[in-house]
Amino acid sequence: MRKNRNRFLKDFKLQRSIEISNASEKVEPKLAKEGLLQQFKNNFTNSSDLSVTEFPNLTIKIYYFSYLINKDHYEQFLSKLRCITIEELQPFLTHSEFRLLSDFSELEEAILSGSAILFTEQKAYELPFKEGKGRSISPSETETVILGAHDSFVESVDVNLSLIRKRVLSSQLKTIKLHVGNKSKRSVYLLYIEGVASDKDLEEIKKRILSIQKDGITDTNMLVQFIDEYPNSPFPQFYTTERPDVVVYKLFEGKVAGIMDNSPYAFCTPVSFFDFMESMDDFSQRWFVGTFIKIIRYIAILVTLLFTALYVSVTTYHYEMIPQALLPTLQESRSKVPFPPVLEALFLEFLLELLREAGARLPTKVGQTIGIVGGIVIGQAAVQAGITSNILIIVVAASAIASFVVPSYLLSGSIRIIRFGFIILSGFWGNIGIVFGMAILIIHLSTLTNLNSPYLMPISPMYPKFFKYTLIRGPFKKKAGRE
Amino acid sequence: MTMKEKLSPFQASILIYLTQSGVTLFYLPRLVAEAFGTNGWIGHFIIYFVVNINLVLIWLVFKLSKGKSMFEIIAILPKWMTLPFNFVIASVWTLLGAMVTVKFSMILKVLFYNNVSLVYFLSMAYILSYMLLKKDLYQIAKATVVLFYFTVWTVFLLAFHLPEFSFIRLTPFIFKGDTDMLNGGVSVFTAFLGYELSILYIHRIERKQLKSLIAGNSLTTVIYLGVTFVCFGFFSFKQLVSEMYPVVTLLGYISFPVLERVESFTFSVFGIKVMLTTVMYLWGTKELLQYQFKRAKSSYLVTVIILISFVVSFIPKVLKDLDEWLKYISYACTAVAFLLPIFLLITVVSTKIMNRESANE
Amino acid sequence: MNKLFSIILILILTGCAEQKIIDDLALINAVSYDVSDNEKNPLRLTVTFPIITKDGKYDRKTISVEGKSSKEAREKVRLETNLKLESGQMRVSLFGHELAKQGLLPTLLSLARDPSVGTRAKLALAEDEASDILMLQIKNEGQNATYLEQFLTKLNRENLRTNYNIYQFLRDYYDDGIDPILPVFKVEKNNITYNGIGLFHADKVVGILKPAEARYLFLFREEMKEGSFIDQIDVGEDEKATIMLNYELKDHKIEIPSTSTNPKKASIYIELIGDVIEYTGREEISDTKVQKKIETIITKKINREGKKLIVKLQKLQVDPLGIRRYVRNKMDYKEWKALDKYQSYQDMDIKIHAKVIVNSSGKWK
Repeated sequence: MRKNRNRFLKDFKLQRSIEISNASEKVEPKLAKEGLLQQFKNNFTNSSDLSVTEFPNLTIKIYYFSYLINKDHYEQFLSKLRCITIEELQPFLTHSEFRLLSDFSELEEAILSGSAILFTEQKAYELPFKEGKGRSISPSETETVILGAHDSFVESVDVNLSLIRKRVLSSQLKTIKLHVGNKSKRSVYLLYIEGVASDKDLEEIKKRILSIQKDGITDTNMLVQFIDEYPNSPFPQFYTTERPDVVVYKLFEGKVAGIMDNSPYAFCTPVSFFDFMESMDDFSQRWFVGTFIKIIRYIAILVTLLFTALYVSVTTYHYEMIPQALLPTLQESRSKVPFPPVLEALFLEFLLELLREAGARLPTKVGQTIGIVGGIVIGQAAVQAGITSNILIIVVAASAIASFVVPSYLLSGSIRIIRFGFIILSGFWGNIGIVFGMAILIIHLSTLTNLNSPYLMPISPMYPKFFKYTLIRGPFKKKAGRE
Repeated sequence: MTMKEKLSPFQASILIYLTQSGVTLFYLPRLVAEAFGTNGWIGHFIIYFVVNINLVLIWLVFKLSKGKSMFEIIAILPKWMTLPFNFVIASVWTLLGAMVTVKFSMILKVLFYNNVSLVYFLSMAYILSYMLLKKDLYQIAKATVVLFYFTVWTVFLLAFHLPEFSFIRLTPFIFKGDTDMLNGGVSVFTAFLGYELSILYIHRIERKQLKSLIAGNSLTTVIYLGVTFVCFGFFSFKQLVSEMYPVVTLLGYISFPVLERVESFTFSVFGIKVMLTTVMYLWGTKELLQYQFKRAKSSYLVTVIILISFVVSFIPKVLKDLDEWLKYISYACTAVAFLLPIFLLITVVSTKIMNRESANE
Repeated sequence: MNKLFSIILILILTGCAEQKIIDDLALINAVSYDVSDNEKNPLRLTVTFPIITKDGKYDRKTISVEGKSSKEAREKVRLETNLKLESGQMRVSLFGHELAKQGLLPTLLSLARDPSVGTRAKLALAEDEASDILMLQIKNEGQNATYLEQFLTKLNRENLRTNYNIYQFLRDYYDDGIDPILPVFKVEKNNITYNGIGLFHADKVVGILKPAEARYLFLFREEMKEGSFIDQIDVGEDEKATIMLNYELKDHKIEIPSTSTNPKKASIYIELIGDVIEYTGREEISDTKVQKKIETIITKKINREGKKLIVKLQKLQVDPLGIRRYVRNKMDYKEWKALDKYQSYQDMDIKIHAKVIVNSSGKWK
């Protein structure tokens, strides 16, 4: 761990120049070294949680947040410090991993990220006793796979970086540290593989992140909404994931990844719609199976979007489309329902969204109960009470299940929202309404871009060569080379 | 508007195909039967040939002017001279674009939505057109390709008619019966209109300009030919002549196990093709007007064009009026299709000669 | 700009197409047309549609009215139900014999003109009054329309290519080389039964073939792919046996000698390969010699019966086999147009060349 960390530190130092070039950052005037302590004291007024250890004999003070540092390491350090004399202090400090701090912004970041700060009379040193507190690495909850690696990112950026580093054993993996926000400087690390990722993309994303003026961005999923091109689109434009293997895969595809401190999500860019349709499981499976699953997902999207809408359209306007064998069943199940199909469908879909949201907010065990109660009891009761028809329950359930087939939670949410639009359109206009909605959707999707790369990439503009890797899961090539 | 990405040949072909294939497709087999008589589907080859000649003309303009756009060519003429021409062409194109949509909406109303006012269908069409028109041609082309995939599967529905298809019904007679080669031929030709807009964007095609133009036209011809051929073997000749919209009947004959008579759905999907025809014609108008009024903001122009075509759409009240309108507009459009490249060729050649003379002096 | 856009979008949502919610509709699934005795209202229209009773059961309602035309009568039906009348689910359309004699075209065209009626709706004739068939309440047989449609589909699938829907009827009507046919139904012992094939000269029915004759008709029509042949044959002196042959139509062609301008001859070639399923004769059917003998007997029988049938068709001036199509394809357009088609058809000498091959004798020796 420690070794890794040091390597990172080195990397960060290399990139320091970039941070300084950050335009939004107020450049602190370089003060004399005594000023550093004074400055520190001025800034950290009213910080009752700040602890201090003083060694009057060595003329040093150590400031730290007791809950951010590792107590054991700190005690060890103190015991060493007790043994040395004032003459030995200088060599001791220069010979170890303690970093000399040059200005206040550096100092501020160091202490807030969990280091202790040692002030001598002239100088300030960072003592890296960061506590690795926080969640341990656990399997991903939102992007589960059956085969393949199960680890996922945690809130600690160091751990996250280590998860990626461990998978890319190459010095070509570069990381750039950027800061976001005016007051609370959250760090964002951009990762890319040199020679694979395009410099243009890198410059563009850097520019966009640095131009964020907003404070209080807490998560990657929030961050990407500040840097996308179409903030009013319902579709997620940056791919976010909590799986390190996905990030590594995307890195080798030539994408730029970004991770943010205290967020277990990484984003990748530039991505297309089809990246949201991928799961790591596709690659573990044989390619026939992988392709089959992918096709199922496309069908699932269509089912989610259109199935309920089609039911509404057919039962409200286009009765001639129902085959004879199905007609009695449909008519019988509709006969007791007092509402028009569109209201019936909206009611049920709304109920389902409530159930889903309740299930997501409640603890797992209660959530399951909600699912069962909602799904079986309410559904059955609704049919018996004559509020909805049997067939509609099946239709709505099928489209709900289909919406969960979409691997990306973000995309699945977008599609569920859009589905309501389709239901309403079909309730007013029938089939022409559905087609109208489809046309709007297609026009919107085909004009979306992510980092100036078209959202429907291999389809429009067309690159049939890439169909193999995006639309379906083609067989692997044994030859070297970028896919 | 810095993004002036070039169109790939594939995009250009699709753009041509979707501009060409419009509302006429629904009654094209009847038109063909009325024009060419028995086995009229062969007539498509003649028209295909004529269109290709026209495309070669357009390509020649491009080639001789060394990749200049139409507007760069006519830039040597003073603005007051080009104004009336541009204005006439723009109005012909706007009218055609609008009428095509009206025709589709009217058929839709007759067949599926009897008691619905046309306003709604027209506003749907113009909303979609507006969404596309406010964007650059490259963006339109991108959307077009996806919409192409969304609509092209309808062609494969023809396979459902094979069990009823019979070669004996085709009869060995070629171009017999009450034929009206000239008038009918021109009206069949109007089904191919739309390719002439390529004169506005041929310089923006990346490479293989002529090939992609002809490929687009070939795609249209193949699809027209397929539909017409199936119709001739599916319907008996006299029945085909009496069917108002044979392709709609064809679509209505399809029956899936879970859904039957999907014609209301497939017909609506065809509406997207019609909408794209309108979009391309209005785009052409926009380009022409943009040239004349360089200062006008393009989004402003688009709104004006959309509003004008929306208003114009209400002039013909019934299908009969509309057909008259469509007939004369498409004649005018055919004339534009041939005369515009010829005129440009003359301009290019004369400019060259003048330049050479001035260089010699 | 986007504001304008959204305003129009909202405007669209304020409108609404005419709703046809399936449980408020009277979805006509069968209609029948008859000639009525009433002189003012010569057409009798009977419609039947499913309804759902208050206790949730699936039932049907049949309404019969008289009117001047089919659509006028339909307006009258509208007055007799609380539901909205829609004909988009119409599956079967029946015609009375009397009406069929007068000509079906006006009624058919009003069906074809109506965009809500599907071109796949099947057509059939009634031997007597078509309304009787729809009015009949068969025990435990819910919808007469469903029953009829299934019946027609079955006939079509089994061995009688009687699948005549609106599109097919109009197609053959407008084709100058073939005449349409329709299956005939009748009410018998509180049941609806198939009772032969109605032959059409243009749009008028001129004769009805009994089921036994109709079997031969389908043997010579090209859509036939397989079927069964059941008949009594003379196997020896004074000995008759019933035979059932499940056959496959291997070859079917109609040839016209291409010499003359007005062809006078036509030959129909068919080749059947079949398995014997039933044979009541005394001989060993598995014996090749017996099989050979039976082959020749059946061949002769088909040739003889076929010829009889064709002569009958020629006399009636109906051409359900489409022989004139083949004549047309041998002729020049002008000559074909000048030809009196029915007369020349009547004068033609049509020969049948059947070939029957027995493949096996089933699973018993």
